[in-house]
Amino acid sequence: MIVIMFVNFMIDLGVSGLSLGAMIRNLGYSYFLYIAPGANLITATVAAFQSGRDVWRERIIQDTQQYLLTLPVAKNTFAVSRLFSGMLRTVVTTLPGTIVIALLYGLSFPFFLVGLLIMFVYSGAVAGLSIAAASMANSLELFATVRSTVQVYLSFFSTQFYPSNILPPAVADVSAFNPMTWAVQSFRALQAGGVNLPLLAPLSGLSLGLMAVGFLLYRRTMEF
Amino acid sequence: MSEKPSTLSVIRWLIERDLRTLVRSPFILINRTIFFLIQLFIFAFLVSKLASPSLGFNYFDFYSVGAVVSTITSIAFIIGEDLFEEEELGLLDYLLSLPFGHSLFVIGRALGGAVRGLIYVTPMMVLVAYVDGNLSPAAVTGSLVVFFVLATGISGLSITLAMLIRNANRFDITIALAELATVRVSAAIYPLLYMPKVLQPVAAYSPVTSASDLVRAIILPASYSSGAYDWVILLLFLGIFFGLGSAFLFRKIEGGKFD
Repeated sequence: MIVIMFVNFMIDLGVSGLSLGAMIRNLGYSYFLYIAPGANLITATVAAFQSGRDVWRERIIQDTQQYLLTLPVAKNTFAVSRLFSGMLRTVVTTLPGTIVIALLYGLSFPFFLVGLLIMFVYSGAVAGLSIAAASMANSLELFATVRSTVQVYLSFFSTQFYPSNILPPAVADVSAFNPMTWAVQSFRALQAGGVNLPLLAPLSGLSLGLMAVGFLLYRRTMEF
Repeated sequence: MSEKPSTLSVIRWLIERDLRTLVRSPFILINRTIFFLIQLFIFAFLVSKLASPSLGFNYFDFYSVGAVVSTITSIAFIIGEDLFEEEELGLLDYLLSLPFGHSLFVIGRALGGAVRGLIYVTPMMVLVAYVDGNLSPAAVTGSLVVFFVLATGISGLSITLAMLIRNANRFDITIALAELATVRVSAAIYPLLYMPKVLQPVAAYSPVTSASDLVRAIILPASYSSGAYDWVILLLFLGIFFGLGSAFLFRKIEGGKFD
């Protein structure tokens, strides 16, 4: 999984990133470095969605959710643990990519740790969304549709690829409610040499909100 | 005793079955359409604003054709996901027990995947031809012929992966990775010239590059395609993955050597 995810990241960064970077040269800064953290965050999105895929498989394909609920763990603890395990798994899966970004940005070790924290918090938002989708979808088709819709929203309605000043007003408004926007900008702030709390705060708020949604919907599946 | 069905009937049934799956899957259709429109009118529009001044040509036009090629590639990969799901649910064994050969099954499923891909992308292609200022029946039909060959080959590749991989998570990730690599390591969304040097020779032999070049030559008059060479790449790709998909299905049925 880690290897496949790293290959995924390297294709995004080493092929698309370098190609787009070679094409866009008139900005006054490196477009390749500008979009680099986005490649890792997209990989994190794919990895975090696996948490939802697991939950969905347990509910619909394997029919093991009822068995899991008989284990001696409180349902709330179980639901929260699924979210946190998804977040931790994502941070571990994207660790090689985070190291590459840290090297590209020349981050010090404390800033690298902040980078890991950004990945962790961002993963919470996606794990929340994926578990919410898995709790509501009764078909693979619907779950896959939600998954790709979320990926499109996170990628294209954010500042992953373009600076906020060229976004049309409607897209700019939507991008403010996108965890990718705050995560990618937090990473860019690290390159500029600082930890930007006004960027981390909305990221944390969005993540907590989406985790709460995932938690509540997952808990609901345990009651029926 | 019932008669063995003819080859054409079997292929028609399999295509019909995949088309019925398409009709029963409105979410996928809606999702891919929205994804395409967002790619075109948000991503391509904004990135074109950044890229076109340094490129010296209109990146939006270039990307618009690539977006349709990427979409049909991505839709053609779904057939493998269908097969994998059928295998998980135990339905594939039933389908393979029906009275027709495994090669016919692969041909039927690959053609089914290609036909439904064409149904998906025809409105997109019409929109792109219109936006790029070359909306004519000949241009759209020519593009769809190229897409059909590409989609049939990609369906074969996807079926091959579905038959090779047993673990669901690994399959999900591998198919996403294969889709990503097929589209990104090609000239679908950026010109070969701007790709990393080490990848340019690989991308030059990609069927997605060949399909993109052929369709650009049809839709965008200033574009270049080496014609016969691009067709050879596309047809080779088609032949190889038809063969491999068929061989791995045979191995699954018979548990033995390839025919």
